[in-house]
Amino acid sequence: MDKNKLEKAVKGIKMPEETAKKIISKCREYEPSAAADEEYSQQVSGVEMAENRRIFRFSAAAAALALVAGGIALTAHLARRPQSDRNYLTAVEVEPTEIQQSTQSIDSSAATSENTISFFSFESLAQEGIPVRYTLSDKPMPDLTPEKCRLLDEYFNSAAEAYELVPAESRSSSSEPAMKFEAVRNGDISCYIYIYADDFVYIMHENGYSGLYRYKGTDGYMNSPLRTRIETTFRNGNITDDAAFYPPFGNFSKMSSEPYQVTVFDGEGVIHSGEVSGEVLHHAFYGYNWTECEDVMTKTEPSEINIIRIEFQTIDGYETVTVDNNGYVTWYINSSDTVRNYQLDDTRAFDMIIGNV
Amino acid sequence: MNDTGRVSRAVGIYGDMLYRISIVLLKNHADSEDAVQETFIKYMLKSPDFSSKNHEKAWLITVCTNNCRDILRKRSRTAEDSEEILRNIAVDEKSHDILEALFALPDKFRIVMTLHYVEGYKVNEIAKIIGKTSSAVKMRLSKGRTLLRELYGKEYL
Repeated sequence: MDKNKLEKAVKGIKMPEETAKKIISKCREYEPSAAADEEYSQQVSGVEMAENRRIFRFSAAAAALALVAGGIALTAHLARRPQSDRNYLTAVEVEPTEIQQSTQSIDSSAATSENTISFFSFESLAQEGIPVRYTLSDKPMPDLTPEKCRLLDEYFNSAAEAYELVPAESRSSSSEPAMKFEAVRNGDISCYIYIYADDFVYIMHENGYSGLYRYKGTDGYMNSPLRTRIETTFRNGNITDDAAFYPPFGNFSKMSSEPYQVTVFDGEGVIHSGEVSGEVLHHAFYGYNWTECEDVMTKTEPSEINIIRIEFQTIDGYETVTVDNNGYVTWYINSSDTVRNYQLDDTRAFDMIIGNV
Repeated sequence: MNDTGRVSRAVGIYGDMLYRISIVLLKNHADSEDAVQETFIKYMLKSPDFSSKNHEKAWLITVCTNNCRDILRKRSRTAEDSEEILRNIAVDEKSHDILEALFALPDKFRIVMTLHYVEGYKVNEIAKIIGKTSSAVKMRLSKGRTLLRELYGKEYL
């Protein structure tokens, strides 16, 4: 059926001409100059009534003078009154001036604006009781709860702005999606978001629209922030409000049940090697405010540095995290050849790992 | 241009839009007329300097939806039934079925559906206009679509 039927139908509702005339006429009554004149005349009438009582005690000439003086005073008072005093209306609930920036570029094409990853509402589907499935590297995960779906929606909403996804014609690779988010209505997949390792995204909405997008700055596997970020979010295993405190590379205690191989270096070479459990590593890294920083390695003398290197496996290969005795953390995402740097507030992570290796 | 001239121009440009939003929300011609009238009185007395047409339009929609909410809160008139509204607003008969389905949706879904599918606002813009989060707007759109599909009895949106 015609997709724009609702728009056409509602736009067919027109304001009757007499209503428009009535509104303009009513507004004329409230025009500030007219309102001020009316108020002035009402107050002068009040003064006149008050003065009438005084006439019994004072001469007519004095009363007339008082009237004139009162009139002058009133005129001056009205002239000084702030404009807002004349408004009989109260302030609106939402101050519309705040919406100025967001409405500068309203896209009249609703059909286009809705066909993005930001338009999915997995939360409402989950609340309807429709299973929302998450599959990572062909491994099905438990259905997402409405709360997790809400966080997922928020993630896609912000990702749509942050990663500038643009329509793409095709992918050069034929690899399967790295992760899938699917809603299953009555046994059929009714909508989904598929994210590929090279940051291509394939979506299908419940309205039947489907399309392929790619991260504007993508360069194959060299730069895939969309996938990496969401993978991290999910690898943490806990999409919660305190997600910011989880280490960006994930929750070691949930990534593997096996202990991790840890190597300790000093300025000259390997001084120790051993295994540390995922729980210890997670505890060591959890709780920091993880924000990326510039590479500060060059600012420190190499001889002053002790480094712990932790290697772990991801769906795309091996990754490495190093932490040094200055609280400096580097995450080497080998599969995408990306390095991320973080500066921690203290050396708790280093000390805990050294004490357990 | 004097104040009345400014209002006349705005009524000409935005009158229909505000009226249809009010009708969709209030389902009553007299209440809608009040809501639109109050919007234009506020426009004349309180409106800021608008930086663009879009700013002006969004300001008017925000004030109008606030007025509608006020009217709904302290409403003395009852909402008209769908047939009565459709008779009063004199729309094309072909549109009756979809409008009846729209009018049958709960208030909170009607406004987001109208702002998005009719006026073309994006989710984050609607969130600012109605003072809700983007997530809430998306949920309402999603639920609204589902309900409309059920009520309209056909695959829609």
